[in-house]
Amino acid sequence: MQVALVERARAGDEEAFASLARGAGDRLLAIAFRILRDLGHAEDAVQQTLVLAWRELPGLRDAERFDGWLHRLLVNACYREARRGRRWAAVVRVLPVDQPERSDDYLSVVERDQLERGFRRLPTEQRAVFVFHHHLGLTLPEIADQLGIPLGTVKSRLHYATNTLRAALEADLRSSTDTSRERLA
Amino acid sequence: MSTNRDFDRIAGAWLAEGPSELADRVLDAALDEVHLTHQRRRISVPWRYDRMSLPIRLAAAVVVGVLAVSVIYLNLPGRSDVGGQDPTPSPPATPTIQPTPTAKPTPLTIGSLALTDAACTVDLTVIPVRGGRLAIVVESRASTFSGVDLFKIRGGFTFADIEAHVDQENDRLARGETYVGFPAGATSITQLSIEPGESRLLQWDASAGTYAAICVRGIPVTGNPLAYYAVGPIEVAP
Repeated sequence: MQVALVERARAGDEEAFASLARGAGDRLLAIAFRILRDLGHAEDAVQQTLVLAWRELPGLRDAERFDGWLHRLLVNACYREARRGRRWAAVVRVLPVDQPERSDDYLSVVERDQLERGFRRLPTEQRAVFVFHHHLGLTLPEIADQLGIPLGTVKSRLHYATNTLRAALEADLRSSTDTSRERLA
Repeated sequence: MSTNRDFDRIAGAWLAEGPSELADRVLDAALDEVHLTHQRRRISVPWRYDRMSLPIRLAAAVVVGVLAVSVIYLNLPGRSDVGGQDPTPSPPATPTIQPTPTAKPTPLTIGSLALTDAACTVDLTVIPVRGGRLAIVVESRASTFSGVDLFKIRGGFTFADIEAHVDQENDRLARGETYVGFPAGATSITQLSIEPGESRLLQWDASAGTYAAICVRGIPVTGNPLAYYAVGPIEVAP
């Protein structure tokens, strides 16, 4: 079904492309938001991705690789949005995020805060790999394939991202332990 | 945190939070832009080209060049009777995909905005501009990644205030200081980023009032942009 739509869109059928865009839109937003941590920038990245996908679609040789190709365009759009966010960085606000679904009570408020802070310190390239692995559940070779980067680069980016976030969480754990000790003393 | 598994669970749970539905307005805006965007057609080079000898390659290149010039000539304005292929795709014989119920009308393109390494200028082709969904074609002939921010000027402020703000920002850039940010007397409406040589559509739902654009040239990965330009005013009648 999707391959047929991709073929039609590649031949210039706007309605087929609209159908593909509707099918992919939610997933693209979810990925972009998780990389950029800003809804406005994420929406802009998705919009850019869809327009670029339409323009460049005739160059996609294998219609079955449409999703991966779209992901790569999205990540590049996220890189651009991350750069754009810096031009008025002095006034960029961190918008409160609509969180209709809290996954569970597994995460404490402090853990969320530490992850958020740690994640914002990561370069966009590391964020993308981390999101593809932990949110989309892709294997490292799949990520390398989708992003068009060597497997070693994927491993390295994931390693640094994981270390940064683990350090953020463990620092929190240490400070909690210290506080408990002070209380006992 | 004791194990990798714990970390994976925590990371997975944290990433599961957050928005997961694309707003209709974003999809509509993208599809509006798609409607105005031509697909890039690829000319594929046959694999045998690599195996050709140099004289044959040159001859082939000349033939391709002549064909390309002929095609361009036949598609020049005023020669549409000679069979140039319309890049706009024809709809399928049996439409099976329904348009979104929330689809917005195609925006009215009111002019163009050109960004170069030296300036940013806007040319309005529709005057007066009336409220509604509007669009400006943004073309970047600058050599660097740039952006355009559209603002609506608030009551009590004028376009001169925006220009003064931009002058102040450029002075700060020249001194190597950090920029101040958005102009005080204006509300940010929309933004777009643009690569060198790219053409994009800046579109928004306009109500009556005065608008201004600020072009931001040369947005680096880190540090300050190269320059700001105030463009406008764009007066929108009720």
